[in-house]
Amino acid sequence: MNSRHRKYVFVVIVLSSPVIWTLISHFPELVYEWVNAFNNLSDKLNFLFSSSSVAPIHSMRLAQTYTSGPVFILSKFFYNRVLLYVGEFFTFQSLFSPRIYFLAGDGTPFSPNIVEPVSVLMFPFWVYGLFTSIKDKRYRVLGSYVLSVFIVYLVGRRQFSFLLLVLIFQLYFVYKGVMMSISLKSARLYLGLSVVYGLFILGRLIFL
Amino acid sequence: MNTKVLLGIIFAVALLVRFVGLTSYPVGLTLDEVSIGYNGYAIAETGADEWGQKFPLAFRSLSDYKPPVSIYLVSLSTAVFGLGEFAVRFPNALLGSLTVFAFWAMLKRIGFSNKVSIIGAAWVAINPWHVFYSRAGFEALIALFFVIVGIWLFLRSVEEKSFSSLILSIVLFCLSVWTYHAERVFVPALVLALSYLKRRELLSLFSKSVGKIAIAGGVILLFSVPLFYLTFLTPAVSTRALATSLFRDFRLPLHNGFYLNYSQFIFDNDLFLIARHVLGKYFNYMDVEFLFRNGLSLTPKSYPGMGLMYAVNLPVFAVGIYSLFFHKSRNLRIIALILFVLGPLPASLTLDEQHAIRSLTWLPFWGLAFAVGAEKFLSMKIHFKNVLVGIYASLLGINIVYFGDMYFRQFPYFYAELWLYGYKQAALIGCAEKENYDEVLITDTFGTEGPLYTGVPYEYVLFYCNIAPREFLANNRTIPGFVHRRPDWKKDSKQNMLIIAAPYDLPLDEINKDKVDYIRYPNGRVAFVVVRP
Repeated sequence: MNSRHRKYVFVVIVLSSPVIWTLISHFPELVYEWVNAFNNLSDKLNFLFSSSSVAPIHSMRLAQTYTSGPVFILSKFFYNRVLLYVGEFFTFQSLFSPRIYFLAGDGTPFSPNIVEPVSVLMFPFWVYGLFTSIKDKRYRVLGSYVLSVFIVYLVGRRQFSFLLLVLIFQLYFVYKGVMMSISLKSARLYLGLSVVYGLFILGRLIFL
Repeated sequence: MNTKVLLGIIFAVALLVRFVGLTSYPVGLTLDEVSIGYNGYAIAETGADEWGQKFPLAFRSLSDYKPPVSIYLVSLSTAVFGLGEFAVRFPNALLGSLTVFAFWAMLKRIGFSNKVSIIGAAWVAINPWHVFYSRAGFEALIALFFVIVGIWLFLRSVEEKSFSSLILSIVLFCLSVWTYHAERVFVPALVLALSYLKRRELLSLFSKSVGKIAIAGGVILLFSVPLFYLTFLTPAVSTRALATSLFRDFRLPLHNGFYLNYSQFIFDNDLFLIARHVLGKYFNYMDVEFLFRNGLSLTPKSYPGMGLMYAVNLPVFAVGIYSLFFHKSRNLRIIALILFVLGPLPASLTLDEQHAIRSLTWLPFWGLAFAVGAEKFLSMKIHFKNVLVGIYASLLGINIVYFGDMYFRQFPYFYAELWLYGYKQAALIGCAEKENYDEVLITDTFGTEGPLYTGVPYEYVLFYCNIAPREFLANNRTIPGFVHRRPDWKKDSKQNMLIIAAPYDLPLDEINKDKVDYIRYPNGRVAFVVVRP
C-alpha cells in the first residue's frame, strides 16, 4: 500500500468517528471551553494543594477512635495527602481508558450518549496498534500520548473539548493497528465492517 | 527451598489471612450467611431444609432460591463444629486456602515454570479480592475453586490422555454450575472454548471408545438434566435470573417492538440497544479504578478505598498483559484470551454496573497475567534487579497493611450496617431474656439514616438461639414468643414486651432511661434500642 492509500485509510478512520462531527458542529462551545482552560487549570491546582481536599482522607483516622480490633501503628501513615495524590494518579490514568473513546463518551454535547465517539469495532485495532507501538519502541509517540493525557488531567475537564488531544493519539493507534493487520484478508473484511458500522452510528447521530 | 516447603509456607499464609478473626470480621453475618448456615444445620439435623423440603436441589429463601452446593458443604461443617459463625464461614476459608494449590497446579499445567507457578500461588494467597470473599459465606468463591481445579484437570486429561481426569474435571465444572449463578454462563462457554482449543487431543481420547463417550455423556446428563428441569419447569433458577436481569435496568430504554418510524427501527433497534448496553457493562470491568482502587467497596465512594488487587501490582499486570499479547506459546495466548473475554461476561449480563462477586470468574485471568508479568521480569537482564525487588516488596508490604487497615477498621466503621450488624446482639438478648416477657419484638426495619433497610430477624433468632428445625416446622415456621415487625409504641408499651427497634421508631424522650439499652455499630452510632417494660 502506498503512502497516498495510507492517508485515505487514516481519513476514513477519522471521518467514520462520530465525535469528529459532533466537535465540528459544536465549534463555538469548543472555543469557549478552550478559552476557559486556564481557569480550570487554576481550579485544579487549588484543589491539589488546598486543605479541604484532604478532609475526607483525614476523617478516616476517626475509625481508629471508634473501632476495636487489631491496631496498625502504620495506619496514620496512610491517611494523609499522599493518599490524595495516589487517588489523583488513578484519576489521571482513567483518561487512558478506552471506554471513554470507544463506548461511553463524555455525556456532553461534544459526545452524546447515543453514539460512541469512535466506532467500537475499531477497538481491536487500537489494542494492536498500541502494543505494536510499545514493541517498536516508539517512545516519542508514546511520550506525547502520556503528555496529552497529563494536559487533559491538569485542565480537569473530562470532556472531548480537551480529550480531543488524546483522541488524536487513539486514532493514530487504530490506524497503526489497521496498517499492521491489513495484509490479512479477515482483517480487511473486519475493517470494512467497522467502517460500515461507523456509518451506522453516524446515522444514529443524524436521525435520532 | 524445595517446592513442597514453599507451597507449604504459602498455604500457611493463605490459612492465616483467611482464618484469623474469621468469626468477627466481617463484623456481622449477612442474611445470606445466616440463611445458608441454618439451612445447612437443618439438613445435618433432619435431612430437610427450613421449609421441610427433603434434600432439595434448590434451597428456597424469602425472595429467591439458593444453589445447593455451599449449603450442603455448610451442613458438613455444622455437623463437625455445630451451628455457629465459624461453621458457616469454614468451607469458604478452607477452599479459599486450597485454591493456592489448585492455582499452582493450573499454572504449571498451562506451561509455566515451577518458580512462576509458585509466584502465582502466592499472588492468590494474599490477593484482596480472593481473601475478602474467602472470609464470608459467598458461594462464588467455592464455585471459583471448582473452576480452577476443573481447568487443571481438563488440561491434565488432554495432555496425559487421562480419562479419569476428564471425568473429574466434568464433575467439578458441573459442581461449579450448581454452586453459583455466574458459573451457569461462564462454565459452559469456558468448556466449549477449551474443548475447541484441545479438540484434537479430546478426539483422540475418545477415539473408538463408545464406552468413554457414554460415561462422559452420562455424567454431564446427571448434572444437567436436573438443572434444566429447575430452569424450565420451576421458578428456582428463573426467579434469580429475573431479579438480576439487565432488562430491569432503567438505563436501558427499549421500544419493545413499538417504533415510531423506520429510522428509529433501523438506528435505534432494541437488539442494537441491548448489545450496546451489555458491551457498556462489559467495558465497565476494564476500569483500572475498579480493579485497583475501590472495587471491593470497603468505604463509600467519596473516600479512598480498596481495589480488587494491590495497586503496587499494576505495573506487573501491565507487563504481563503486554507479554501475553506477544507470548510465544499459542496455547497460553489462547487460554489467556478465553479467560480474559469470558471472565466479566456473566457480570455484564446483570443489573449492576460493576460487581466484584459476579466478576470473580475473572480472577484466573489476572493470576495468569501476573504470572506472565513476573516471568518477564525474572527473565530480564537489568541492573539493580535486587533493588527493584526490594522496592516492590516494601511497597507490597505497605499495600498489605493498608488492606488490613481498610478491612479490619474502615470497613466495619463505614459498613457494619450493611452487614446487618446488631441483629446478632438483638437475637442473643431476645433469647436470653424471653422467659421474662410475654413477647420479644425485634424490628425488621433499620438504618442509621432512616428506615432504609429491611432485615429478616427471625433468621437471626433461628441461627443464634439454635432453634431446632423440627420445632420451627412444628410451630408452622414461627418462633413462639417472638414477633418481627416495626413497633407500635402506643400499643406495644402497654404489653409485657421486650422491644428491640430502631431509635426513630421509639419516643426515646418519653421512656425511662433505666429501661433502655443500646446496641451500637462499631462507629458508635445506634443500631437498635432495647426497651424493657
